[in-house]
Amino acid sequence: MKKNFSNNSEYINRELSWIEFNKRVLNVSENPDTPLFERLKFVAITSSNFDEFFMVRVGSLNDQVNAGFNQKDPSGMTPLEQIENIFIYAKKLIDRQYKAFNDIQKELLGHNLKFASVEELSEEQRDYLQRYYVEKVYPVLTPILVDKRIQSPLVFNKSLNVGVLLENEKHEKFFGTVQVPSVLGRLVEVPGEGDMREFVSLEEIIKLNLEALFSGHRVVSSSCYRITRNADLTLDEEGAEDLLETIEESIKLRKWGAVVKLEVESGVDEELRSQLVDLFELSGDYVVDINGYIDLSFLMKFTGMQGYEQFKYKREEFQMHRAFKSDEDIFRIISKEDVLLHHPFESFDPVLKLVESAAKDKNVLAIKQVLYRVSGNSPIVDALVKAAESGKQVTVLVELKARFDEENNINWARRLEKAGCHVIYGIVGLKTHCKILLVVRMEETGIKRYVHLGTGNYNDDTAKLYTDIGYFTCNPQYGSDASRLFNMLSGHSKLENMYKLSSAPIDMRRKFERLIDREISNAQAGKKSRIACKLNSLVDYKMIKKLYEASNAGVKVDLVIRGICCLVPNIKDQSENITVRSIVGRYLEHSRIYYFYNDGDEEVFISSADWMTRNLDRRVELLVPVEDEESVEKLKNIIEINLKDNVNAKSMSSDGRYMKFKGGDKTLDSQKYFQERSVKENSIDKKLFKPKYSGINIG
Amino acid sequence: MTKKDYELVAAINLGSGYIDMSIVQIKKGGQVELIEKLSHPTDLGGDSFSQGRVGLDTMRECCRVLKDYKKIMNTYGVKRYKAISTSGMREAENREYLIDQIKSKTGLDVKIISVAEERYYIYRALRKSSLDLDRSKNFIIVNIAYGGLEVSFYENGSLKFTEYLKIGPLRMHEALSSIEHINLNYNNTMKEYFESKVNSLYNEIRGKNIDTLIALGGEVKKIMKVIEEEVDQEGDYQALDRKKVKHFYKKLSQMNVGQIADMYYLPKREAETLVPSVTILHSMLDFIETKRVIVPMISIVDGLTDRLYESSKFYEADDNSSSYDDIISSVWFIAEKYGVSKRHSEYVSKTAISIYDQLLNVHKLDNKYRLFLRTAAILHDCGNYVSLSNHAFQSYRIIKSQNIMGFSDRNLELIGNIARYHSGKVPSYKDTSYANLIEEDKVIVSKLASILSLAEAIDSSHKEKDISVKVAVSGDFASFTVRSEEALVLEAWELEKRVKFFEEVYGLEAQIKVEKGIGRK
Repeated sequence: MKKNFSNNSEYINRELSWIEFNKRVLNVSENPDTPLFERLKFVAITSSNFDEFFMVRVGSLNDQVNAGFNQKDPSGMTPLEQIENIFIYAKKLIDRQYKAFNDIQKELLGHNLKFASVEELSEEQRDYLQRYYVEKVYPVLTPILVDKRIQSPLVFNKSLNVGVLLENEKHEKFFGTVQVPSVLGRLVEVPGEGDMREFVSLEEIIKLNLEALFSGHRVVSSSCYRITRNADLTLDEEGAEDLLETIEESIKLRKWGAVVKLEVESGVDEELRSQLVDLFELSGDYVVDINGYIDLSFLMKFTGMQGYEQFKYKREEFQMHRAFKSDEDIFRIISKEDVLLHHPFESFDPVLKLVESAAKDKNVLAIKQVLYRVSGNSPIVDALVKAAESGKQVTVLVELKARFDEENNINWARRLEKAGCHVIYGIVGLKTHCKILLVVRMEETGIKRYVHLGTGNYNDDTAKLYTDIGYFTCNPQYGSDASRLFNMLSGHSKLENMYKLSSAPIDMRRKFERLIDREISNAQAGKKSRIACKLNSLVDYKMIKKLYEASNAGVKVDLVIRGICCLVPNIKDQSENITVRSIVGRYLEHSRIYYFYNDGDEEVFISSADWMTRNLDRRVELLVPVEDEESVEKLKNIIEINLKDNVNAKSMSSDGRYMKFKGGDKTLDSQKYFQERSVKENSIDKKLFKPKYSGINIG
Repeated sequence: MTKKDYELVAAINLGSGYIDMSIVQIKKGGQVELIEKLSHPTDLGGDSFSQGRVGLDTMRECCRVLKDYKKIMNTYGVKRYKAISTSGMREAENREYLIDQIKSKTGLDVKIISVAEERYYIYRALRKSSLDLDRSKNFIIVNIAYGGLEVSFYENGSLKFTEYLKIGPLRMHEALSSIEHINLNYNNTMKEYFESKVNSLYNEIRGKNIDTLIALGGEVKKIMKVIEEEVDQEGDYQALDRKKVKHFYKKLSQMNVGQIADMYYLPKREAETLVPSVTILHSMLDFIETKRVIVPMISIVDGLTDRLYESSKFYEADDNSSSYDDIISSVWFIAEKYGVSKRHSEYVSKTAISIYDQLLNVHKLDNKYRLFLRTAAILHDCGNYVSLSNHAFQSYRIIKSQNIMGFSDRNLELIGNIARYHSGKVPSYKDTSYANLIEEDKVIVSKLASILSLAEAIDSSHKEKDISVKVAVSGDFASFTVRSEEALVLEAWELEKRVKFFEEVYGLEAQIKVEKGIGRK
């Protein structure tokens, strides 16, 4: 095996595996079958993914290096080695990303859309831009002439800037900088001739006016640049009286974390480059030369342009699950049967409806929910506010530490508190990542509890973009478990034994180990055994070891892992029975499903947790067994179809790289398949229709 | 909702290590369903056992937790509840302040219960569980509470005695923790310490053929959870093989608290008491030749909710309503110990209960006092063991010092006083035991003592003659018709003397009629 991603054959470095994932994201934009604007979107996503990655992961590695911590990770790399490798692979991928963008630009040109440079413009067009500059841009610019002896300039994390090397009459050199204002659109459309629509970037317009901006100086050279700061939010929670305030404080601090990466235009003047490197106290290796617009995340906004429907994914109608089609009271529907929803193919609306109905229903005593990342104008928050105002006991756990959403989350927290909700901020030291909703209702025969358990956040926006699973039940044992969990989360109680659910960090790891052990002993006893799981990341070293153990015992293990996978498949006497597949497509694969054959008495679980150490040991997560027969079949089928996907699936090889999966006779795009099937399944009258799923093939 | 076919009740236990609450739903038809179960750690026991007082922080924390619990009760509209505290508060000198603070901050009335009441609730829970004990055998029930150890010995299915030893795991840890870090053989020291404390108990059960060891208490449940893989689950109880306990003990003795906590995912405070708890079990298994330990998954809170169920309007009595069997059985054990005449006591007790039952509409006492009367009747002569001259007073003193399952100290004070006035003596303010009673209790004692006194008069000959007593009450008049084929001269004379006390207490004019006829047999 190539030693690129690891210094041993047991474990692949997680950062490099992540970069491989981002490559698969970029692959979608390279695919000519992807609609043009969607290709632009995936280019943009590749950029914003990298931003988060550098801020958090590289930020944290930098901290380790600065602290003199040089312990090797399980792949055998020191933190410094990891950073070095990250830059090597990231730079390659970034080059590839700009190549992809250039290819797309060429195609767009054929459709009369042009990202133009100033030199290509006509006189009239330049005049137009000049007027635009004077009226709109100039008033919001703040040029800074840097005197390094006094202080370094305040440059915001992820902001785009123009750095200028200046010279005065005495031939003294100065460094000047001006931020490209984020309040204005990154692209400016210039009126053109004919059908061609032309767009010029804001930074180019500013660059045309640098002499005037730094009057009294001569511009020697200029370049756009952008920095990424360390934003790994390690909170000193011990003694943090009020988590809310601590986090507000750290958001302010984040703007000033150490710089981990600098992007400059390729071909930048050497002197300017070294000025920048000095200014941000960076090693030259951490500078990325960009051949094109720096920071392509603006393309996301560009694709939101009116019209051009032909360049976008066909708008899909997300189906209402047939159980929820009637006007019947939602409580009655859930009372009749457990319902499992497969988002986004099946609509997220029933979840909203449950919260909204609970808020209005006079017999509902309490609503409890964990909110991790909610959407901008969350109807869930509105409903909870209403419920609290009408005197119900509303308990909401707002996870403030949801990365990069802290600011957003704090706003919801304040609003909910004002309405009289009991807002809790979880457990110090543990991020609450489970997705659970509990409605306690007083009915004629007694107290009844309705529970929704999911793999995705209560966010109606992402529910349209992520594949997730949601499970409704009023089984009293799940209800009781939900109550116990909330009592633990709100600090009322230690976590009492639960009937059905397993939770991290209490017993989920042990539960997984036991489930795998059972397959191992079945395999050793000559019985059939099988593990098939779908998750987002596999990083945890102990879990990987356990899976190797299973493979060596002869257990067939199929994993569908969208993102990072540190496990090395296809190694003899280690993982020859393990396959790893990754699906990256239109919708972000997000659901976690865990299947175990268990000598024929199959067990299937959904979970909020991946097999990452943080999920198993440092977060509050849930592992939920699904017992309803139809739901079990549905989940098994999801994994099976995922394993048959030969359009968006790639299979991982033992060097940590991914190749297109070429199994099967028919082409099968799993996401498309689920979309089509959900239409079929849910358009038929429930009474007549009983869906049949082909289950996992035990081979 | 118009008419509710169910009631929600709450049971709270402020234990030494945890504050527990269960909310159950009692449904029409008598089903009882658990709705909420909460458990929050507390230092009540730690404070009480080491300093004799509950610290301010612990008090505040207690109030805070109970405030939360109260909120949850309110959500469900819980009206009826029982809140009790056991050894954690029992031994704190400032317990009254804490109770008052709880009352003013949460509105909850917490009652500190005696060891005997604690046992009553636990056995009540045990009886409710699916554990089916072979009542023809000998068994031991050990309740390992944080603060103390309680051992009950059953012979042929009936309770013989119960010993309460102030040597729970938390107390053992508090006592020995200071030497843990300097002692390489800490576990052995702990075992020796424990065995030095239980020596007398071991002597009492030595040589008895014991078939089953039942272990109760949160600590035991913790052990079960920790060695989960090795436990056999059977209904709502679990069983643990003696070999496994021994093996586990050995394993633990090679680890320190930190290692134990890491190994078994336990918080430090729980790891600390694990070694003493396992030591206790291990030591008991050294002494008792049983193959396995039975661990019912019950707690005192279950006993409390069962009691709440009994007093709900949806209560449906089951056949197994002999819930007082264990109490009576242990009362008899005491009676035997003090050499009372079994036949006389039995006779008096039956007669007293017969009169009590015939006077239900007159005395209007809560049903629980029937058991008080019965207990007083069985034990009324136990004072003879100490002194024949003032045996009634001695009976009072003996009863008062007992530790009988289900009775609080106040209950025993009452029962002792009833027994004190069994022989025709009328209560007087000169008797300190009586004078110290609150007004309400004075009346109860007098009502019951006057009945006991009449019942005792009927067997004043101690010959247990066949006599039937019929009581009729109409308006302000009552008649006691005593019928027997034998001559009842002495009895009639005693009755005449003693009935005045009855008349005074009940405000009735009473007449004794002696008739010749068939007695009760």
